Amino acid sequence: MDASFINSLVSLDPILRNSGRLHSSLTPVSLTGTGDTLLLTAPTGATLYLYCITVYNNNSTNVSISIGTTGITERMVRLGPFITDFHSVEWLPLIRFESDIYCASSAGAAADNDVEIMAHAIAVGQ
Amino acid sequence: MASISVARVYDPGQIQPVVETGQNLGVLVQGDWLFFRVDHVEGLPASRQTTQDLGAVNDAASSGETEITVVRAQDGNLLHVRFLPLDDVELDVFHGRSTGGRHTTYSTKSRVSPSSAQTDPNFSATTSFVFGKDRPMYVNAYNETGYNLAQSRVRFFGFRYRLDPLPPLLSAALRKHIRGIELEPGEVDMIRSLKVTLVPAEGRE
Repeated sequence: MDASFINSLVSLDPILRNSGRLHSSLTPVSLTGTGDTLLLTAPTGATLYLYCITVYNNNSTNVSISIGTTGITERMVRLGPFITDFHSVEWLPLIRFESDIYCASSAGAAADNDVEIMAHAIAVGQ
Repeated sequence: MASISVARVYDPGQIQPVVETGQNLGVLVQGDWLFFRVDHVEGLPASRQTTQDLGAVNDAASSGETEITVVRAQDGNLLHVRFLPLDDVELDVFHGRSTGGRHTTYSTKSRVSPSSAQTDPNFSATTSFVFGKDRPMYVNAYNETGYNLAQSRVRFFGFRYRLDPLPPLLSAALRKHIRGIELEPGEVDMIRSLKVTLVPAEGRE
């Protein structure tokens, strides 16, 4: 999957076309444990359609991640594994979240900044 | 004789005000024409503040008829709005609870869905008027997606007109003129130079 595929989906969908705007992480979120970590806050009253994450894995072990809403009501149960020194962009098929997006890592007790994620989404309803 | 025109509110294209400040407006309310001079027009931008969430709707269920409080009008005001769903729901619209059903044919009632934008990109067919506070708009959101939805948001945008009633004698003469009733000579003089735009403010059951 790549960016052109995302473009096609957005142009196909009237909700995203008429009401969507880009809403992305400004800085990477560091995952230091297996607990849920807030990845991207939804603007007030908005839903989020996640189309891409950037993943930096400087950890000595491979990492898989789960993505969902609070508690994690999982939308993406297991993504990866991202091998050590994986630094790249991962396109996603516009997964819908009714509120803030959370992320959980398989890497227990990773050092700060070893596993970092950024989220790139389209907000609807702001 | 008075110049009467009918606002083309369902024309394709972006929503536009039907009159400007200082012009006259005829509003059809419950089968009768009321006439006003518009003393203020302002836009209602599509925004979070003009969006109403009808709540969580389970699969194959509906929100129930819910009053749209974000487009309540004060008395002496006319709201001219269009709307679109921000979630994957089908919207069934009423003017007055369960009564003024909108978008009806003989045998069915059309709903507004996100895919309505495929044939009507500016949601012209959703054009609605809310006149004063006594006949608010109600919407029922249906979920036919196959899964439960946590939200069912409807976004409104358009214009607000503040209305100043025309004198009763003038209104009576205009009403007769529109109905094709012969006017008295004095009435002809009274409305000779008047320009009035008519809007179909309410759907008829």
